[in-house]
Amino acid sequence: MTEDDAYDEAELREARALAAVLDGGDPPAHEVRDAVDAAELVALLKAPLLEQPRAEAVLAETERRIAAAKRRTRARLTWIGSAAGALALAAAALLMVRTQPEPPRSAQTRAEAPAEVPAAAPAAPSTAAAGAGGPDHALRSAQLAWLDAPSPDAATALDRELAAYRGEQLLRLERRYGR
Amino acid sequence: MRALCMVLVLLFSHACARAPEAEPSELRVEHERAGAWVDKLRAAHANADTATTAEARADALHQLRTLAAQAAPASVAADDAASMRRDLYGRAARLALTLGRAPDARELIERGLSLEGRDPFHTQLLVLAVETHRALGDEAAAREAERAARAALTDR
Repeated sequence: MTEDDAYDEAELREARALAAVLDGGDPPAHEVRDAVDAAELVALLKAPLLEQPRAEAVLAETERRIAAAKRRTRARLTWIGSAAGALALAAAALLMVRTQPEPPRSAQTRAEAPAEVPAAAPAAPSTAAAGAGGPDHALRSAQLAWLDAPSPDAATALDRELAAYRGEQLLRLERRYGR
Repeated sequence: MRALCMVLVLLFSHACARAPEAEPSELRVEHERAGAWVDKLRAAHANADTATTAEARADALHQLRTLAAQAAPASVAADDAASMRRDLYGRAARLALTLGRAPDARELIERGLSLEGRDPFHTQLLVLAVETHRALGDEAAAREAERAARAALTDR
């Protein structure tokens, strides 16, 4: 087989792929590309591998398919772009709403609608769960001291720590539910 | 499609931004009730703080017990409500002990301990139970209460 024969044979393979496209097949993308190449070649060189009218029809059909595929791709990209843009804008809007500083509560604004809905407010961290070193640490120590050695002094210290802890809790409730 | 998405996003943002203003009046009323309840807590404790005579202590005890027995407004978180009611029962029990009414103190402590949840006020009720059972001469119950109090302190 001469070099020219080999070249013709390669062209023939591409031309067959081209014919498959024309016959309504749905070959992979690389075969479509081969078909386009072959069609262009046939059209340009008027090679005798396919009859000229058939080669031109293949070229036209291939171009139509490529254009349709491009339109579909553009449409998909547009839709994806719009959806991504919408999501980004929604996220930004949510972020803006959530990070808006709470307006100062003057006596007048307090009389109006509260900015936060109490029932929907996140639960305050449980002081019981705070553990050692938490806000109840001193109270816990005083309770333990009284259990270890009940005395008037221990009772006084316990009352004092209990009052302090109660004060903290009332303050927390006022911040959360205060009018 | 792009225009539709933009419109939807704008509507969504607008709704989010306006949501706080659109709070229903019932929620406002509930919020007011919660605030009033906290005010009552403050008042009851302030009354107990200043009670020095037996009569004033009995009056403060009555106020604390009454408030403790009432359910908190619905807008108050359940754990907040239970915690503060436990404290009310505990403080009422302390006053009852001071007034020499240990059986009343025991009953108040039991009511407080029956509320859901564990916190420092729950432990305080157990500590008070030790003192109350001793005042009633029930050493076994006092030991049991002390064991429970120490366990609660260890858990915390």
